[in-house]
Amino acid sequence: MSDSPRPRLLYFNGPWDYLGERLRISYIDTFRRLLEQDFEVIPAEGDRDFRREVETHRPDMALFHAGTESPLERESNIRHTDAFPDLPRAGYVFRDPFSPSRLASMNRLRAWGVNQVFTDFRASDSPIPFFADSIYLPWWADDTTFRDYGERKSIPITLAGSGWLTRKFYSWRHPIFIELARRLPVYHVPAFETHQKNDAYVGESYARLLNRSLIAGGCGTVCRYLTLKLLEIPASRCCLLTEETEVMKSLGFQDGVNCIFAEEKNAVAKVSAILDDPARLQAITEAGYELVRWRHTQGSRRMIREWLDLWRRRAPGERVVQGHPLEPLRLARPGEILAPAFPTENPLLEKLQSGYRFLGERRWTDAIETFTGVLDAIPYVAEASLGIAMARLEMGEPAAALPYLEHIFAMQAKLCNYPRPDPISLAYAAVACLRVGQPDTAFGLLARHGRVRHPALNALRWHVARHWRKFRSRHAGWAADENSEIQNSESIHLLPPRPFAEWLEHWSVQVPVAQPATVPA
Amino acid sequence: MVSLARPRLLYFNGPWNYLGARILNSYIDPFRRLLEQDFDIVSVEGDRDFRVEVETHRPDVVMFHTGSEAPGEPEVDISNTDAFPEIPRLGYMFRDPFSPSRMPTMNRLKAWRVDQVFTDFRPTDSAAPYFRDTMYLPWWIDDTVFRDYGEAKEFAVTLTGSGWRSKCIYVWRSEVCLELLPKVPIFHAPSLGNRQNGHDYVGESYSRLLNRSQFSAGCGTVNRYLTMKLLEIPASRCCLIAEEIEVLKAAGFRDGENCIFATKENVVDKVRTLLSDPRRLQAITDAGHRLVHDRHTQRNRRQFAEWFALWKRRQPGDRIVQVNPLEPLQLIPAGATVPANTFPAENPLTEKLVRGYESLAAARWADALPKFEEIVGIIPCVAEARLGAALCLLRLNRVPEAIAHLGYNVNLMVRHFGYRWPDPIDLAFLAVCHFRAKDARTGVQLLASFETLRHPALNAMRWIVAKSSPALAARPVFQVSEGDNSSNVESIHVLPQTTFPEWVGALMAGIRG
Repeated sequence: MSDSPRPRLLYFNGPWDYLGERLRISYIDTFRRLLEQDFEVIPAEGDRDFRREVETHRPDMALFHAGTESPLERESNIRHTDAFPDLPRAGYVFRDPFSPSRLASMNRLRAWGVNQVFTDFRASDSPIPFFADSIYLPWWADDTTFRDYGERKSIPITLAGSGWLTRKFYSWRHPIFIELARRLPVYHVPAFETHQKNDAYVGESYARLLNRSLIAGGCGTVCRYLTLKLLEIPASRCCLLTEETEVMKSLGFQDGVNCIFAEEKNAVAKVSAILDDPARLQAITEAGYELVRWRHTQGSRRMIREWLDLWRRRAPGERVVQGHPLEPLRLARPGEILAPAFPTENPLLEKLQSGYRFLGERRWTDAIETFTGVLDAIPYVAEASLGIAMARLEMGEPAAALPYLEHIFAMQAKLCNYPRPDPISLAYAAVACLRVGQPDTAFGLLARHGRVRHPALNALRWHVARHWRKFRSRHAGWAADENSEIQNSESIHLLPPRPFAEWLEHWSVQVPVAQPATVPA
Repeated sequence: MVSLARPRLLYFNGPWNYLGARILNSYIDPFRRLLEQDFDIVSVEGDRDFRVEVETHRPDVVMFHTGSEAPGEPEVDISNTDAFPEIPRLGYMFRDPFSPSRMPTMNRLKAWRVDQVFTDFRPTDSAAPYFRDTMYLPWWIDDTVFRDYGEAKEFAVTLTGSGWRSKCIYVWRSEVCLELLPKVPIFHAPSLGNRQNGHDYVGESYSRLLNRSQFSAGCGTVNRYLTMKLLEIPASRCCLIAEEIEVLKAAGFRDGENCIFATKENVVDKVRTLLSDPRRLQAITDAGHRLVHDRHTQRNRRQFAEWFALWKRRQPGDRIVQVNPLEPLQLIPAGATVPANTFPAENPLTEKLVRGYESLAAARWADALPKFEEIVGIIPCVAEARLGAALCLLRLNRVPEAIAHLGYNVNLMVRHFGYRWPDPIDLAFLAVCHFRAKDARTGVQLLASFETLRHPALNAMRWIVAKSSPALAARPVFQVSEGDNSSNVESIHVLPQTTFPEWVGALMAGIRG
């Protein structure tokens, strides 16, 4: 890293007034402090003229924060991003890797023309082209907040946050809660919605709560990735109780050494044993605390600055690449292939992928069962809903497909305020409508989002307009040209990229034009 | 001249080594301290010779503690209790009013010839005739333990004890907990059974936990009686959240004044409202603390001393009566009308049981059965409900199900509690079931298996069987005279039959179906 004065970073972000205190303090403020370690940060909130901001502030780099999942999130308008193309630009995606709200971030970063995407999840958690070269910024504990406050240990076990009371999302937490609560004193602190402001423990008060607790639990969700909680706990000199995952081991956590790995059947025994052995508990707590302070605070997360330095000195054809996320970034030669250096374990994604494999093998029932398992864990995984819809369409049951496609849009509306649908979801929804004899609804859908361009949509529109001339004339604005590969929207779906011609062939099979029931009067 | 010395009380109790720290600290030790307020205690544990102990210690009064329900409870042998009949004897029953373990307790007190039985439940909570004249000692808080320690408030809501995370006798608790958990930070400390020792929150540490909590909740079980928790919480200067029940109101609790009465529908709102209004919360907490320390400490529970004082000055025919457990006992002259009890009797479980037996008496088997089954669904061990269900099932020709209910009762008493006898009425009707099931061999075996057990119901069943089989009549256990009303055991059941011929009628009705 350069010893030169800190580079000036123009930081497009926010506004954040729609977020509750917990999200702002835990994620937004800490990210800014992370940047401030290595940059002179010039924040620019909300709607902005990129050209003017750059002219005014003369930054060395621009960073775009792509927002946070919330139904109250607003769409920032950042204009003239075609200016200053030589200014290094990075974007930060702060989303769950299974959330349909990724689409909003992806489309924003696409529009803002970033050179590099940083994410809070592993690229392998969302294996779509957009994230293929993204750099993973693993969570860190902000040691200005999460530290040892010297509190007296007054709480045996604290279970804070979401997921302890239901089987959704945090698949490890609920059975652990049931077991522990049956046998041991447990302090349960629920998390509230992202926009609510009445969380009891946030920032320092949360760190002090952990500091007062002998043991606190957390997990990496059904995806088994690193969550912030898994670092906040040991950083607050509290013994971490967690699920044994590859990520945790790769980050230096070892059972009985600096944390406790437990599962439903042994959690009570392990926790009881450690509570009965204060010296050992103290040793584990201390080791976890040291591990996090040594490797997992903001001081160990310098990727954005590293990227800038490497970006500036890269040779033609070289790329900035990430091996293990705890090791520095480096430059890769043209054509150099990187071997995976970090665990990709992700049961949810594996289930999704096996569902799509079943689809490829035309094993519709197996696919539906697998996707249903995904939705049981997280009801808003659009890839799973689409998978079920695709299977139902293939099985000749379009009426059974339609609710899953409607569910995708309902979930997107519930989770975030992004007005544009995923183009592939939209195309399949229109197809299902056509197949159940609701062509007006199908055309309405396609027309309502007439500006969205994607080969899948382009092909469907062309197919529809060719066979339903009346609608082509009525909706001339969206009737695409033949072979249009224009794309102005990303898709979160796991389907392999296809050109117009392949989509057209697919839709021709899916929506045969000879069906009298689908032809409007 | 009046002696100023405190009366000497010979206290037969224990041994307690089968109990965990929680029960010892919460129930056994405070009871001894309660006695120590008014008596010089001479404590004797386990098997004893009553005559020798009285001769040795020369007590003014005797108290028998009848133990505690827990696996491993021993059957204490106190011999020669026919000695010194003039010394007044008290008995204390520490049981749930629905627990079949009352039966061994009742029989101990019967064998020990106590003059007055005190219980930790209202007489109305247990419909058996035995409890008509028992006196109720409502729970109190020991203010040497449950007090304001000046702890800083650390937890919004603390839920301790049983029933918060499962459906059981604490029906209100699980419903309220389900509402609170997703909305409010909750410190939950489960209770781990009566033998458990490793509980972190017992005695002072428990009181300090409550003292660190803004709210803590408790209820009176499905029976809606006073539990100790309902006093321990406000005593530790913690705001009580409770179900609105008649007993609590009679004990002085008022919603929004000195506690919060809540339902599952409004508990979250009520808690949140008060958490955002600290002054009001403080006022309610202080008022609850004041109420309990003014009216519900050990100093407000002097029934034993009152009873002893009245006993000493009673005239022939006088009766000591309890009109309200929160008021002094009264001495009612012979012939005078005994005032009606003024303490609330509200108890949905007992009411359901009584309604079930009313339907049974009216031969409405199909109406009665669901009432009994509902009780068993909430508390599986309620022997009265199982017997009621079995009697209905016998009449509805569902004999195997009747056998299952009565088999449960007999096994619970003999195997689980380890008592030497089952309830004789259960045994008699279980034999009836087997005869109905054409399994006379098992029926006979059952009737012969507890040879020394005597009760009019069992005597009657043995007599019926002997009448039908000359071979059986030759066996000593079946040599029962017609009309034999002898009994050496109390039953917890609430059937109206009391005499030999009445039992013959009831049993024959069961056999005929």
